[in-house]
Amino acid sequence: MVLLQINKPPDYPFLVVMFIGVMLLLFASFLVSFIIAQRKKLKYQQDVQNLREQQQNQLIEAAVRSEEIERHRIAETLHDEVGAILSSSKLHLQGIKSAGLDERDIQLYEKGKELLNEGIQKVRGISHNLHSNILKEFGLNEAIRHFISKTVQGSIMQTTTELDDNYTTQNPEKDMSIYRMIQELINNILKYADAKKLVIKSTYLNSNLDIILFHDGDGITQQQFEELRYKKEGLGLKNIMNRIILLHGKLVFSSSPEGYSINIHVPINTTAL
Amino acid sequence: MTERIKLVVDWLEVWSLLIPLFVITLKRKQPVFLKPVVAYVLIAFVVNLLSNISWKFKHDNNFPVWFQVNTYFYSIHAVARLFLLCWFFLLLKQPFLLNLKKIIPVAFLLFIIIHFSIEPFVNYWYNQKGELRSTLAYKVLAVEAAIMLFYCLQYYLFKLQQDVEDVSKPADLWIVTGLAIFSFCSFPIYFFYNAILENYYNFTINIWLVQKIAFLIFCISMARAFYISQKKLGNNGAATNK
Repeated sequence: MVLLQINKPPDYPFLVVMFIGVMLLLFASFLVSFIIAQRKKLKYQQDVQNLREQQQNQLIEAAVRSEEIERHRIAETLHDEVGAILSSSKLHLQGIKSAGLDERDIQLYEKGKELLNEGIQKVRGISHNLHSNILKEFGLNEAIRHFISKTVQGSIMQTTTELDDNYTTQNPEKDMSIYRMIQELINNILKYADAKKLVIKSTYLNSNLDIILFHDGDGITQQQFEELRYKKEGLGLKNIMNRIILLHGKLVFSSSPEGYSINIHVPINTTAL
Repeated sequence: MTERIKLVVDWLEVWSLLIPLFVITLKRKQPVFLKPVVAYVLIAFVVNLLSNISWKFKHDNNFPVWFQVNTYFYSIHAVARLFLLCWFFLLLKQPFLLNLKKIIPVAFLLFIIIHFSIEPFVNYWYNQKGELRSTLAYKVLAVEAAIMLFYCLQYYLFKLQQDVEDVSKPADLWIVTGLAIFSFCSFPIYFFYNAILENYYNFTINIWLVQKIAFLIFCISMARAFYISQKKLGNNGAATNK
């Protein structure tokens, strides 16, 4: 028996095709696992981000609530204690008989009474501003009108309010935040803008409340607002921004040749705040 | 019809590069890390065009002998691809196997110097019938494909290691994926090239088509990368413009 040894060459086409096939298969499975791993990583990142935002919102909400509680406490102290002392002082002052006083003392007595009345009025005004009873009893529009009439009283600024009466309170806490923002913004306009004209306009459409504050003074643009809100002294603007974040709303500062506008956009039917 | 398909396939390595070139002309402002890839596309287009002209028109024109063979164009293309894409990988600034990634191009340069000092760069000869034939520098091409595979795999490994997903530069992922597909297909072809060419000439021609399709995929992925990187640059230029 003769043993024949045949040296058969390797089947190169088969080898090449197999090699390419196996390599592509390996790469495809590697790519799929890579994509799955990346997606998991991305989801984890998003979850962490959401958690962070949630925590931040909770902190802001707590800060806003504690600020509101503090305002109420100060308002009640002013009204019940300081107001009561001032009223009592007025009564005591009125008890002084002016018949025996000379001309100079009468003048001093009248001046004292006048200053005391002014003090009582101021304390009442501050107390009402802080407490916002009107907001609770008559709603946002009335509170804004009342605030403007009280604040602008005595200044040379001409104000116009065009508020949409279709809007009714749905969430008192939201109204409180909107009211506080408007208070802060109008106080800033009075303090810094040197405006002659102020227009406050609101529209309520498709569960969205849009309030525009327009003035012809020296206002700020969106870029300036972004810069100011991160400064230490810009506490008011920080509070405004915190409230906007809580309301899931938008605050846009813009300018035109006629003046400056501040647009507050708040979606009302959300679960925010 | 078959002739037309053959014409399209024959010129595939040239017209496929027109896809990323078209995107580059549309979106000229590309981030710095993609500049080597832009340079690669331009060089590859010129090299492949010359290669195809010398291949398709060698019988119609009185080209010099060195221009009647086109195999060395593949070597030029591979060398350009390796150096430019190594530069691209370094520009990604991934702090992973950094020294190795810097050494590899230098080692490859030494390898090609040694290789072409032993074997001629334009390697042509005449067969018994007096026909002009040339040899592909398949060793250079196989080494280049293997190196590119290494770069692609280290890129994915680094991405998997990262705790935070960087979503500002998805363009690089497209380029690396296209390059990986191309290298995964090319490496076995170059690795067995000499053996299959000797015994299975028709199979070699057919398998070359797989490599051409992989190259088309690579070109499309580069075009996609140029398109989205430009979009990202508009939104977040600082992040991408190192």
